This record gives sequence, C-alpha cells and structure tokens, in this order.
Amino acid sequence: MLEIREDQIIQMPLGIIGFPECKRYVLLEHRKGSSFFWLQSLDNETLAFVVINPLLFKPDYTFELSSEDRKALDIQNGQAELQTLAIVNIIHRDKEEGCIEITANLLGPIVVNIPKRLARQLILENYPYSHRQPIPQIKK
Amino acid sequence: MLILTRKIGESIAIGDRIKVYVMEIKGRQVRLGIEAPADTKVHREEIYQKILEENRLAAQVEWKHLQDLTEGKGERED
Repeated sequence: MLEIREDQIIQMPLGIIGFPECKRYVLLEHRKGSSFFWLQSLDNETLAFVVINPLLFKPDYTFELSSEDRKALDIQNGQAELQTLAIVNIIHRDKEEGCIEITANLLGPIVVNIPKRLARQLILENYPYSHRQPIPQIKK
Repeated sequence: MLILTRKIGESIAIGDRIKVYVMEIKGRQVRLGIEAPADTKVHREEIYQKILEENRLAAQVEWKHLQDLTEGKGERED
C-alpha cells in the first residue's frame, strides 16, 4: 500500500489524451536513482505511464508554450519552475527474437508546473520531433 | 454527417462558441481559420490520433517490461 501525501498529487484537468477521466497523478521513481519514473493515476490504479526527462537524451529539445497553455498551467508573468516529461513506450518488435525498442514521445510532452502541481499534455504541431524517438542506452 | 458548401471568407458556427472560417483555397488545399474557446483544443486530426494511439500503447507498458530493460543487459547498478 502506497501512501500519497496531498502535496504529491499532480492535477491534470484535461487528463492525458485518450484518458480524460483520470485527472490526478503521482510521480514515482522506477527505482532509486533511476532515470525512469511512473506517472501513476490515482483515479485508476491500473493506469500508469513510464516517463523520462527528455533532456537526458535530447539536450536540444525545446518548444514554446502557447498563451493558453501558460494560462492552463497557471504560469504567471514570466518564468515558473517547469518540468517536461516524455511518455515512454516499450515496443516489442519481434517476440521470438526479443527485439525491443524503447522510445519516447516527443510530440506529446507533459509539462508540469512543479510548485503548482499542475500538468498538461501538449501536442506539438510544426516541430520536427518524433512520437517514437529512440532512447539510447541510459543508465537504469 | 452534415455537409455544407461555403465560399472563401464565409464561415460556419458550431454551437455558440466555435467558428470555422474558410480563409483560402489553393488547388487541393484549404486554409481554415478557427475561433474556439481556450479550453477547446484544436488540432490536425492525424497528429491528435497519433498521440492518442501512442498514449494507449504506452499505458500497456508493465513494470516488468521496464525492469527487464533496465536490469542486467550489461547495465549494472553500483
């Protein structure tokens, strides 16, 4: 049984695309010191996404927030402490060969306003990013 | 499906808060202008579907899958 403090809860008022009914999440380390985290839904215990900081393997990853995104994330005049997360997919190309690809969705990043515990998934149009960016060997 | 014919500069209203304008027609391409409330996200259908599909797949990743990848395979926890 996992105990979650109120101040650990991340609110996603629009949910994650495809899962609009799940609006409250918590971020859990995969393992101590791991680069991977689980974005675990508190509204549906079976729903969780692996996420990673995309800057760990794509340091030049950047995009602009629209004024509407800034409003939705409650970013007041100028800077806020933001964290970008990319949803990770593990694709089993060939079950018998055991060929596995681990990718990150850089077209649909999740932006978290850390102090406000508020997040939303964006859709980046007109950016040259892939929804299946291979993640190179990353520790743990 | 409701099908309407519009000319350049004309628009359609969807409910009270959404308007879609035909801005320009060039060959096989149509430029549309969309007015919608801030809480209504407007996206090209194919990119939206791509993200949706990728999210659904990602939701099926299990703890074990990630564990298998991050453990062993020459990676060692020191």
